[in-house]
Amino acid sequence: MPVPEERLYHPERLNKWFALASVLMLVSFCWMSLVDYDRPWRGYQEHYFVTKAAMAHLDYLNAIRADHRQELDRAKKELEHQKELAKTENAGKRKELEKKLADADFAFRKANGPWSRVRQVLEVTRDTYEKTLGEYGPDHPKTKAAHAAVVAQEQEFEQLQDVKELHEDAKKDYERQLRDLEMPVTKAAKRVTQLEKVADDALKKDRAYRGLLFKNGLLKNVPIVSDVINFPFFDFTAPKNTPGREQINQLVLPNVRQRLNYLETYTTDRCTTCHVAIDDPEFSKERLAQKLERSLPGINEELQRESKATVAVPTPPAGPDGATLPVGRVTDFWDVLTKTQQDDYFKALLASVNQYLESTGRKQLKLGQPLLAHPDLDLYVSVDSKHPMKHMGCTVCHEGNPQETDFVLAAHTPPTHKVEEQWSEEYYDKNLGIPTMTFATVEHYWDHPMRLPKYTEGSCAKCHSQITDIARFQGQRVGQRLNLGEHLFVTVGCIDCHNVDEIAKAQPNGPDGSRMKPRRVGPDLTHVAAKLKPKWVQQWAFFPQKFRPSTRMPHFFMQENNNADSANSFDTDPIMRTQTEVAAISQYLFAVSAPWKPLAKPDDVKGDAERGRKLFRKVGCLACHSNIAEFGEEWITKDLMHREGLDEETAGFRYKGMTPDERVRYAMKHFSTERDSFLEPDVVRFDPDKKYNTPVFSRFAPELSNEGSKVTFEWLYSWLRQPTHYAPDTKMPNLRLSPGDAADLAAYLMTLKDDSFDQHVFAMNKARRDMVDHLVFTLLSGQRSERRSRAIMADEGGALTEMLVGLLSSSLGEDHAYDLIRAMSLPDKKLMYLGSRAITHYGCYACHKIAGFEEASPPGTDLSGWSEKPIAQLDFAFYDHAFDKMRKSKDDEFGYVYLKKDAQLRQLSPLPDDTREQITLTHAAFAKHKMMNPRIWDREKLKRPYDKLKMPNFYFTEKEAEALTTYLLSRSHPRVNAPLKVNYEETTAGPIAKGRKLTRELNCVGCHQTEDNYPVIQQYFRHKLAGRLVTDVVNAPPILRGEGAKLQHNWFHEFLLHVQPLRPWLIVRMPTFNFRPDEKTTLVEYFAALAQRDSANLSGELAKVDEYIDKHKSKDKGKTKGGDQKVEAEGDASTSKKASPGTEWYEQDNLRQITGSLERFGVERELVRAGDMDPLTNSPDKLREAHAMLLDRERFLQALYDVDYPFVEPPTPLASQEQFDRGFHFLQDMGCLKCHVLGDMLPGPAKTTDDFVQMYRLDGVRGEGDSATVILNGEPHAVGSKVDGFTIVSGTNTVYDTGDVDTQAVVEGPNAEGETERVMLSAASAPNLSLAYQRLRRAWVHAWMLNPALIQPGTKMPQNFPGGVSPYLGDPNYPGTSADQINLLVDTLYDAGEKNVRVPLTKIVVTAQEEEFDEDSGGAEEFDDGG
Amino acid sequence: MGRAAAGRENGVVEAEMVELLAAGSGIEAIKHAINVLCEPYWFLILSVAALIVFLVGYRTITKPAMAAAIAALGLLFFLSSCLDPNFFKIVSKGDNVPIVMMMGAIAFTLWIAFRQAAINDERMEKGEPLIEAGADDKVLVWPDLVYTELICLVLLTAFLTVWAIFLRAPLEQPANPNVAPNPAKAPWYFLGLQEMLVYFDPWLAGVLFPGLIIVGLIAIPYLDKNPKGNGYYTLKERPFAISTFMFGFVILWIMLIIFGTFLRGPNWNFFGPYEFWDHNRPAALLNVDFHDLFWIGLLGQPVPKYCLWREAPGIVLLGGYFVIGPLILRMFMRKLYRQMGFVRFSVMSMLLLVMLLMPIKMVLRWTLNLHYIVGIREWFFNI
Repeated sequence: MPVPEERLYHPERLNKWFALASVLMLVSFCWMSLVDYDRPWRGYQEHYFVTKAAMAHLDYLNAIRADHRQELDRAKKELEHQKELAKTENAGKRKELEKKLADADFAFRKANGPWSRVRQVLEVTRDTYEKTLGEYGPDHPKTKAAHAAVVAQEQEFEQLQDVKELHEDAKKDYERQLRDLEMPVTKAAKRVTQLEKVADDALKKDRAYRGLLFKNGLLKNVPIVSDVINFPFFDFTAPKNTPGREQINQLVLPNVRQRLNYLETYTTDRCTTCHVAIDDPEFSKERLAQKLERSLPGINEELQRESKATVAVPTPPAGPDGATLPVGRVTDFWDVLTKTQQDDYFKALLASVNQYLESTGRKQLKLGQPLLAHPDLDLYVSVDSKHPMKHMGCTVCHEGNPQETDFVLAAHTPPTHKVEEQWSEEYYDKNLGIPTMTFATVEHYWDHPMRLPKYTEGSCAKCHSQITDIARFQGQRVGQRLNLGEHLFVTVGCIDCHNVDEIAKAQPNGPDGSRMKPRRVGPDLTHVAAKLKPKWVQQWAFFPQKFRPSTRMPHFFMQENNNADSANSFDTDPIMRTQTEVAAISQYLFAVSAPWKPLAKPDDVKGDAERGRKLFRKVGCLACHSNIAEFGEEWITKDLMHREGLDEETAGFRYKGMTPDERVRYAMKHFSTERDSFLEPDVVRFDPDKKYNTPVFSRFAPELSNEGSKVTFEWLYSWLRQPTHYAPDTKMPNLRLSPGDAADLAAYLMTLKDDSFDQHVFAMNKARRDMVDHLVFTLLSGQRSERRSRAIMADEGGALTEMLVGLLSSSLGEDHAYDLIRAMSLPDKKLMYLGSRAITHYGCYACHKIAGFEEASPPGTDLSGWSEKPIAQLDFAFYDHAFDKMRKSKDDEFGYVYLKKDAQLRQLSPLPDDTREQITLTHAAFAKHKMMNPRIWDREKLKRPYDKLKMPNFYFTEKEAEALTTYLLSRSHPRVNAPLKVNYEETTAGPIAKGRKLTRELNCVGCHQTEDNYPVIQQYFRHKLAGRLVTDVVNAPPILRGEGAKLQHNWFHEFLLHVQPLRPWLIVRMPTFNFRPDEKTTLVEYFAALAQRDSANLSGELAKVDEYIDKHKSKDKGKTKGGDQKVEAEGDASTSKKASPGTEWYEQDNLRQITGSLERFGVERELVRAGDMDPLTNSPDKLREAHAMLLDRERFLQALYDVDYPFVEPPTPLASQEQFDRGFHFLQDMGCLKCHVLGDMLPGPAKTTDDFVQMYRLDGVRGEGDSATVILNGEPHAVGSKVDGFTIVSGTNTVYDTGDVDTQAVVEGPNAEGETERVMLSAASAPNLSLAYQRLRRAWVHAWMLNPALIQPGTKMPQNFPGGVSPYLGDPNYPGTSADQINLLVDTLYDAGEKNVRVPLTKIVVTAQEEEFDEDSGGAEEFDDGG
Repeated sequence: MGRAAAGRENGVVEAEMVELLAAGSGIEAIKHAINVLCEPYWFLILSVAALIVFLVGYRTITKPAMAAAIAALGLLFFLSSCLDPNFFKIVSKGDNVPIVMMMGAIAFTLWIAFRQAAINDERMEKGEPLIEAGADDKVLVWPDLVYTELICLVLLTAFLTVWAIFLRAPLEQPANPNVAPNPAKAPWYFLGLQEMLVYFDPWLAGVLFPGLIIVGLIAIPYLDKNPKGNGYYTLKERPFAISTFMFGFVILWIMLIIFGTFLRGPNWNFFGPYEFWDHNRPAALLNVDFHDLFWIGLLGQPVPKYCLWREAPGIVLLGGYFVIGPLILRMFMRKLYRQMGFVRFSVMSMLLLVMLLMPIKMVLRWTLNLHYIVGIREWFFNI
């Protein structure tokens, strides 16, 4: 192409421009590449490799430590020595052996040749024989000939084989002898190689890393591998996962879904790009600390070699109880250190190591996030945990922007303003280069920013939708916040106002087939007039905490937006307004209250307050209720003494100085932290070795210290007798109190009065009337014109009446409603109207059943998917960024959760006074602050009364608020696929989750230990025993762990429906619950599932241990064959006796998790003592023994707990009479009937003392001395009264130090001879055996006989078959093995139950010497052994 | 107006503002004043006024010293405003930086054009030859044009690269049709159209008007037979054409883009340049149709049921606008009418009237809260 000559532009100039432009482009391109290359995550990855290199170096230093080198020297010398020995002493012997071996080998080879030949020829001959046999039959001569050949050759073969084997064995024997002779040398050489290899490997690794990390200045003259594989544009050359290669790590998670634009897709997490070592156990803080600590001696030696100053070995922190920890071995005691101590010690170690690294020109280590491993690798992230990272990823729990590798864009959430400011400087400005970016931008743009660590549990609900199934994991408590949050949400009544689909769906279907609503938390108010007085109701509704500080009823009034300070032009006198509303509410409630008749009290029953008080302490009220009037003095005085170090007198004085309210507040502050009935043992902090244990102040049901000021005696009597008579849906169970007991209890409760509760009425004066008019007008005119409103107010044409009748007609019936309203004066009608609207506004009907509001929809927002609500839809009022200036200038208004001037609320709130609140624009902050102060988002706003926020104040503690927040944050669409979700339908998780929920809701856990909870009632069953405070297991409600393996389920169903006393000596009783449909089944399934789950867990874990043991056993066997025993024994000189193989399973690293879990289970079930498991304080032998025992006992429980559900005991034919008699005899010989009763008593009147002991069973004695009551066949009789003409002389409970009680009664009457004599009745101290055949599983009874203490630690049942061996083994009366004998017992028991055999008491005549009987009945010592 | 109304509604904010003003913080007062002036009502009036001043005084204003002074003042204003975090946040948002640059570029190109027009006009008055006279427009494709273009291409690539380095791609929420971003904004070049949606029914603002703009632009060569101003800069010879174009381009297109970019915040509310984009700020929006104004307000009569009868006043008004409008135009522009002839003039005046409908409707909205002039919702016919 010809170049045109004509040029209009100056070519040189254009060339220059072109050159310039090209250079600019090149520069910009390089710049772009660099910027693109230089990502913050590279720094983290680089530092990870730097750390690995440093660790390798420290390992190397450790390997070349003087003592390790000395060891090597010693090993080398030993090798020389052995070689020398071999040359000198054993030389002759060896030569001889070698010669013998050569001879034997020659002989063997000679014999082997013919043997092999004949073997092959024989094969051919056999084949020929088989063929001829097939072709010609057995009788053919050809066949016969072939057969003869086979026989002949077989004989020859046998002979040859004998010779061959003889020589072969001889040869092998010499070989072995030779090997034995050389063994010491081989062993020494092996040891040397081993030691050299450790040092060599360390050096190689160190060198490798040095090469790798040249660019980090670790060493100056080694190939620059790392630089090459990470060079921009060439970083693709090294294959993925090459050590030192900086790369983006990505997890592809098909089961964790993300929603993008109508499309759900899998999630890809790139978190591990920066959090490189998240799954590396080496990078856990503990292991790092250990490594650093272990490296210090090596470092100091190295420094000494180079004659440099050594680095400091940090001084150990103080251990618990002032114990001193050994220098340089502190990390062995890592778990006993507090978090701060750990951090401080870690810092000190790191500083020392860094000092060394710096002195050698290496990079210093920064061992914090993102470099550390996940803090709970047992449960998360690691491959063998329940939540492996490969399947779950990170964002499924932590949320955030999964694909981002930038700190900010990954949506990290700052916990406080201060951190936010630091971050915006560090990351938003410096890293990202977007100075205007704030966290608000992140939260605004990214739907799910990361959750603060304290709220992460909210994500558990994605897969564990039932929530309660995660309450504990292998003995560890997890998911506490979420669990508490859900529990509170249901039990304080959030659910009554705010619908949550998951909870609504979990409710049972009612009798009419429709889904039931959750139980309302407030009392039924449809008959309120029969229970309460208007003046009380008014005061209560206005300020419930004044009457009962611990009440569950939240506080609507006197809050920040309706107290006196909050007056504005729309709401000039909020206090007067709200009081008027309360008066109107009470007017409404009492006007519509339906008539109700309490249960009539028999005339002869008079309440005895003192008896009632005793009953109150014992009968079981205290599982749910507390009573500060009764226990306050003891509790608070002791607590003051303990907490403030006061002496008893001062403490008592302090207590007396407190008002009743202050006492309750004190209890709330110090004796309970949550409104949770499922008390964790460490919450209760009961420790028998401590002198002082904090009491537990239960808030499950009302605290009763002023109940008498609230209700009437008649109502209370009726309520105690039958709660459902007043409120059909109440949770309060029926204790089946007799009229006398109920009257006594009621009389006692009526004495509990608090006169400081001011009971005046909000009287309707002129100002209040005006207020009513004003409010009614406001409410009416909100929906219609002012003129029409005025007309309605004047009830023109009966308009107001019509409205009220309309509201009530469906509840009361139209005629009744019409009569009711028409009878009212106009002002009353207006008050009624205001009341109804106030109830609507405040939502009273959500928690209380109120006539006229049966069908009203919940007043609160639906919270089903709350956490997915866009942040812009949450009204932060003036806390928004828009008002930053305002917030700064009005610090008093915006700096605190409660306003400074608001003394009232601050006093009631459990918040510390100086809490400055960090309100960040996040969902969590919104919810938490709303929970702490529900009206906070109204602050500084001018609103009309009925536009104001109305959520009441529950005075949550911070912990409770955070728990609820966590629960709310869990309310989102669970974007995970089925494989990750917990299978509730087909596994035990479902029944367990449901059961846990129910046992918490009905407070079964207040009395029974079902899992590892601590029943609140147990604190009332403690007594001193040998200086220790122990729980009285015998008289307290039974522990129900493993109950599912014990009971026949049919019986359990029946029992829950018709409770019958099983342990007659118990005063505390199992109430009859007001179950809703399905709840019984839920409970039965729950216990069965618990047993199944424990069994399944144990069997899985035990299988792994067994696998290990088997493997090692077989390995060992192989070794023994080889004849290595001698070496084995020599090698392990430290063990006195030879350990059988595999027994040290608990020391294996790969079984660590399982070991921990097995140990925890064992300790928790009291199968072993925690102290015996501690490797530091026990010798290896002891440890092995303890662990062997642990395995044994856990295998026992595993088998016991392996039950079917539903389980039906297969029918067994009755044994022959002879067999039964033998069994029955055995039963008596074993002494079973000393404590147990068998069979029910005969009916009919007794004539003689002989009859009497046959017909009456002593079930218990209540009270002492003359006022005692003796319970005979379930009926109480006072001492001195007559039964069948027999006089009850006395009744005593003798309590022994062991906690055992002997209950006896003496009765006077005629004997067969007509003489008057006294006989003594002893109450059974163990359950009636006649029920066993219906109640218990045979397998369980069998196991129970074998080992009661394992099944129920602390039981009184003695171990009759120690080690499974019967004491009557070999007795001619009872043939068979021990197992046969146990079977005999069990069969007899079941037959006896079915035959209804009964064993009456033996008659014991009481003479003057009463001491005698103590000896006779002195079973206490006997029980001791078994207990 | 929206903001002021919101302020009244929200007593606290107003009190806060008053407090701040009373506190005597001069800068705050100025910012507040600017915030108020940026409300659309004032913004439109001031822009139109500024355009008129510019067109009248273009000879003085485009003098280099004057222009430099204006540019310096503008720059000073911009930079000092950047000290305000809210202002800075808006102008430095990755998406908005090009618009900031566009403002400068528009000002610069306008200045070039009008400066040359001013010189040419002056020369014409003096009878001197035009700047463009004797200029040879010839350019060689090879190598000059291609080479120059290549250089430009390289330079621009370098520039874009550097730009991308400095302005990182911003974080946005994941696309979700159920949760539209707030504010949801069109691409910058369509922000003018989006602004029209506030005032007109979608089929007008989204279909008819954009169509008319294109049709109108296509029609210009056929409508405009005037050979003056062809190939050289002038204003004096084409005052009507250039003013009309300037109004349509600068006010109705560029200004609305600026508007939509910087002043439309969450919920499509107006926010002053120094205001925080508060998602929860309420806005007082209460629009009434013309038929309500006419029947109830003016005549005090019930509104007729039948839609055409109900909308008759609006239809008459609008019909009047499009019938009487051209007649009036013809009265004032006899010369033009003679030049163009009936058909061309009619088409031109219709296009012009449609264009003017936009500012008219805006003003009516702000003053009378007018929703639709003709609002036949039954037939989806709303103007």
